[in-house]
Amino acid sequence: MIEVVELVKEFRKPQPTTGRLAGVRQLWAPRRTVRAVDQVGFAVERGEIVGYLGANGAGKSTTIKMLTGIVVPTSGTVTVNGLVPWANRKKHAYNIGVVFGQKTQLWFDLPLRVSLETIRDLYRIGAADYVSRIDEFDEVLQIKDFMDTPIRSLSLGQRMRGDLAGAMLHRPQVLYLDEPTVGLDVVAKQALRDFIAEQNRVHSTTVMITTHDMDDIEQLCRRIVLIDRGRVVYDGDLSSLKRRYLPFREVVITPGANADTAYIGAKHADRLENADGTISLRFDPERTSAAAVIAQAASTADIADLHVNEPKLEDVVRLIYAEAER
Amino acid sequence: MIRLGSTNALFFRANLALSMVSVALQTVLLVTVWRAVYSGHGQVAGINEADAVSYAVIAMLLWHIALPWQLSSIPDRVREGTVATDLIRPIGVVGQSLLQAVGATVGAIPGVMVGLAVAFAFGGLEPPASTGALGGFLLTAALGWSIAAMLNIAVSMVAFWTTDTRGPFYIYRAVASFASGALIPLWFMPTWLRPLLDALPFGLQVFAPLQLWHGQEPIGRLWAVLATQLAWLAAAAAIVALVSWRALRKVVINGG
Ligand SMILES: Nc1ncnc2c1ncn2[C@@H]1O[C@H](COP(=O)(O)OP(=O)(O)O)[C@@H](O)[C@H]1O
Ligand SMILES: [Mg+2]
Repeated sequence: MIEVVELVKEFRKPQPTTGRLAGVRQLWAPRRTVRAVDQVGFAVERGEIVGYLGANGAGKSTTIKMLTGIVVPTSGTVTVNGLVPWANRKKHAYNIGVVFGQKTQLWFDLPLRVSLETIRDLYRIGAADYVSRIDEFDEVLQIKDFMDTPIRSLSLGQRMRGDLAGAMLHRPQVLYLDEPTVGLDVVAKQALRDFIAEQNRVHSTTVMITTHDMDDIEQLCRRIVLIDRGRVVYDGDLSSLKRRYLPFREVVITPGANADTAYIGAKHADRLENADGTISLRFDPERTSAAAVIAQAASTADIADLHVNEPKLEDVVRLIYAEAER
Repeated sequence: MIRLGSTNALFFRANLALSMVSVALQTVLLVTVWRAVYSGHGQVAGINEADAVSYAVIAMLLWHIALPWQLSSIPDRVREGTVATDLIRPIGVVGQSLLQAVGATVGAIPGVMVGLAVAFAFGGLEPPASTGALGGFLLTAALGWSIAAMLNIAVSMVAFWTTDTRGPFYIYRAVASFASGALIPLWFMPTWLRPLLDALPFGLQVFAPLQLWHGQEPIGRLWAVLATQLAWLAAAAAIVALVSWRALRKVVINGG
């Protein structure tokens, strides 16, 4: 559905000038090239939901803008459903829906209804299809509650629900979402995720989403493409990503009141004493198992409570970003 | 999209009422001022008072729809970065702007009606010279509007290159208003200036239709006027095509 090969986008920025007449001198300042997207390549099949992740400034939005045909790349090729987005903007428009968390595609001063009807006319959606799709969307997004409210008076959560309805009204095969849940409350976030998952399930909509929200990723994405400074550093499923960056799991033990904590431990597990008096036993799942670690720990001392910590994507991403900072 | 332009104009009822009041006020002012200018003079440059007053009113109304206070929605959309979403529509950015311009004009019709009614009530409206003249006026006014709409879009696309568009827009507005004959009928311009003004497309937007209305241009010349307008329309469309092609290749979108 989406094929990206050696995609590059460079921006030319003037060197910052300071001092007297900086504003004017800026015009002749030497220009410096910033490579926002660097040799990015991947392919997405129909019906996939791909999380496109990376730190701020990694080049996520720039990639999305090229895939949607908004921005023309410096070099490289993209085809979406057989079309080159920026060369076939109008035809390509029927294939894609886009939601930018930071800006709305709805007309700010007009009621949601007028925006949706305008989109209906722009994409020549039949009257019957329009009505049935609005009904369908309303079941998850509950947009009918604010159809007659101007966009500027909507809450962010309502606006995003309206935006998503607008993006999917012409039933595109591909949906791009650039930070759609940023700033939303949990209820609105969940409505958005449910809607995206349902569109994907029922209509095999291909979805590409950028987000910093780990729940978005855990709930929606089977596959992750990770970029760092414009380059793809990981492309694969979520669980192998966790395995690669968090190769250990841990058993956290709360010792019993009279237990001699010094003896709590297990083979192939590192022992860490936490500030709250609990003890973490870290182990590599390739070398031993949670069951073995728990059994050994229980045989060494009296244990009040224990739980197993699964690797969290949040930690993975924190690790990767920390790596990127260095 | 047409509806969007007109709804935008009509949605703000207060705005609409205000613009009607302002059109009515301008009409009254124009009638009074031009009568004062003429007081005691039979004819100026071969034009009598009734024609001059009527010209001033209709010219103002034509200009009101040909050069709206907002050249197009493009500069705002570029500044907000919302032009990104316009680029992924099945109709191009230029097409969307044109449709919105049509809508804005439809939305301005109530104001034009008010202006005509007020002028009529004050006896400041001369009927067209003949039915042929009326037809010629309507035809040339429509073509003139199209040229203006194209040029407005072309100029508003300056926004793709510079954030501060005030300078270029101000110059365009000043030149266009003056050269169209919307402020002062071109009859009263010094003869040395006329060739320059005739070489610009702006006279075709206001002055040319009104010449026909007042019978200052014989109806037999209609075809020549139409041919010039069509040539300018083609030129304006070519400019828009070129500018938008350049703009949309280099477009950078503000904001993440
Ligand atoms: N219009 C632009 N002009 C110059 N540099 C830009 C422009 N847009 C983005 N960049 C730069 O490209 C890089 C990637 O930006 P972006 O794609 O927005 O990152 P992300 O969405 O991953 O946070 C950043 O370094 C940013 O400063
Ligand atoms: Mg971004």
